[in-house]
Amino acid sequence: MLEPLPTPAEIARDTFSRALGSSNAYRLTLLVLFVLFVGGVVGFAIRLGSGLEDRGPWAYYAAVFGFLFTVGQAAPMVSFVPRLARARWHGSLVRASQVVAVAGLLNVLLFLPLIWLVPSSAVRTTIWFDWPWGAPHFYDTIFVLMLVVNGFAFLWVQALPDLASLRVQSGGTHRVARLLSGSFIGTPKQWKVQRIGLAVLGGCYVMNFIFVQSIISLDYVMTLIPGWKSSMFPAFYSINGLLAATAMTIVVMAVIRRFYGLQAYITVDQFWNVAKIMLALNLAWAYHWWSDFLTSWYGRVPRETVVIIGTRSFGENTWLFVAAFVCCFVLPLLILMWNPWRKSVAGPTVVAVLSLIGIFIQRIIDYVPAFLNTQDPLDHELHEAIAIPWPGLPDVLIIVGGLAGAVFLVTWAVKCLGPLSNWEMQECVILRRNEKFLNAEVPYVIKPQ
Amino acid sequence: MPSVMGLFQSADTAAAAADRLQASGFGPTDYEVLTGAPYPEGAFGEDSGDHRLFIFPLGGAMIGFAVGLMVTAGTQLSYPLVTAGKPILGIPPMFIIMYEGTMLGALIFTIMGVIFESRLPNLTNDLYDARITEGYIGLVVRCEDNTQAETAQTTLAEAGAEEVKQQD
Repeated sequence: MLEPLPTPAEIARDTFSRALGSSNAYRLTLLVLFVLFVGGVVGFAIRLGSGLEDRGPWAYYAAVFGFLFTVGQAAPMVSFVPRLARARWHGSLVRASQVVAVAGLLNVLLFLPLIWLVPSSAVRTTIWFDWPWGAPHFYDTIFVLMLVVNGFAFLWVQALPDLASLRVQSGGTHRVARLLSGSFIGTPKQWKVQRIGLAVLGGCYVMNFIFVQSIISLDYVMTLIPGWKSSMFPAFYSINGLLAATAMTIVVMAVIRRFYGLQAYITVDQFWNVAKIMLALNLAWAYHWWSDFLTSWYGRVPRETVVIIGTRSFGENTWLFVAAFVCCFVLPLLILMWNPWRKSVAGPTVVAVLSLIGIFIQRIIDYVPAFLNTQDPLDHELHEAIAIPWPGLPDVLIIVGGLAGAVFLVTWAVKCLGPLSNWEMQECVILRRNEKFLNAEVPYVIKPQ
Repeated sequence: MPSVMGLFQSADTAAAAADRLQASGFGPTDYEVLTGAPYPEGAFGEDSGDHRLFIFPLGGAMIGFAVGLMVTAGTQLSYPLVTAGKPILGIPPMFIIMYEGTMLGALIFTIMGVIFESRLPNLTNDLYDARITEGYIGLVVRCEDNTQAETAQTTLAEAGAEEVKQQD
């Protein structure tokens, strides 16, 4: 027998009570995160005190930006793909996936100092070919802003019906809902426009994400190191983003499920389905790294070897590379290859946390050597592999503060918009029936054309 | 013009009420269905109307592309520096900015399109009920006069509406 489906009224009650209620645990969490974030601001101020002329001290700062920009901007894509495939299991993961876009606000702030830190395209070999004006700084800023605005727009259009409901349910006291819901009342035309708006914004988001990640990987990592020319790196960088998208969604889902008590709505189904995509991306991560590594290892061209092998894998920073490799590939494969672990809440959550740790280490491997390089980026090749040092106190403060700032924004947004999308959950229930098929009871899912 | 809203607990009753409204002489464009979640188009026999949202991203993309093309070609032609033997109007670097312009235009115009087509800043005070957000269905009938409003009220009540409201 299948479990009976909740009614729309039950869904509404459970989502609105969690969005409109408040608890001491929530306030305490925000306070702790805010204090940690202030620590990050102190670390930033210390770094700023040493000036923006030398890139080296900002290496870990850049890695934090790289990680948050990857994770924060990637997660919303997870809600788009099942919608595109007209799947009906994704209703309860939509909010967990899209709400991470609010971290984009912090990403824009983190990006601003980097504009002053990297040289113009005129003094290094870039894809901009000595572009006369604004490259890469001006255009990269527009790219980052565009992706963040796209994320916010995608989140807003998705949450619009929920904001309208919150406005009504709170009697107009929910300030964010009052400000952002306009006069949405749920007419058939408004639903139609919202559905198409989501499709267009989601499509734009996927296209923007891959493109922006590639451009940032080229302008802020690869072209800062002399002699490093790899067509695999932007793809590898973007694959990290796709893996981060699934991993972050699973982590947010697990946290929401646990702390908002939503076990009835966020079930093993959602974890299982996303875990299958995540495992494929873990394998793709390893494949992309291998493709880059093998060519350079076999070719033995010195200017490639010193970067791809000496700096990024089995050279000066072996221990870091091995940690990333184990977290992003070995352990995920060993855990998720077993169906009982894949079809659980704990298995995918553990792998998602490991993957995020691996991606963070990978961003250190990407950004820190690029910012520590003291050679002229126009040189023919890097003379010596660059060793990654341990982070100093300001770096630790920036790392912890940056992560705390992003978590603060996501925690606030989850509370503000509600941990579940009321309308998506209701739609899933409306379009589903548990019916008899021969001797078994099976779910029938209606998929309107 | 008066409006009448019938509030229904289940979609089946609401669909049957919509059929009754049509049998009473109301056309598919005379009533509006208010729901807390999207139902398949035409589920209540309503006419959801056309929209022009597709035009917005398309128009925005074309404008963005044109601006990107002008910026890139204009910049290159204003500062005609030959780099590494490449042509003055080099497609690879131009493509990046043209792509950026295209996507930015599409994005901005889509947001404008959603706001415009959904009539989000709607200053008219429409009939609504908080229970719609909890799964109830609202059928709002726009009537030409009080006689028609009375017919609508009777039809909705007979069809099983839990509550019928009128706004003049």
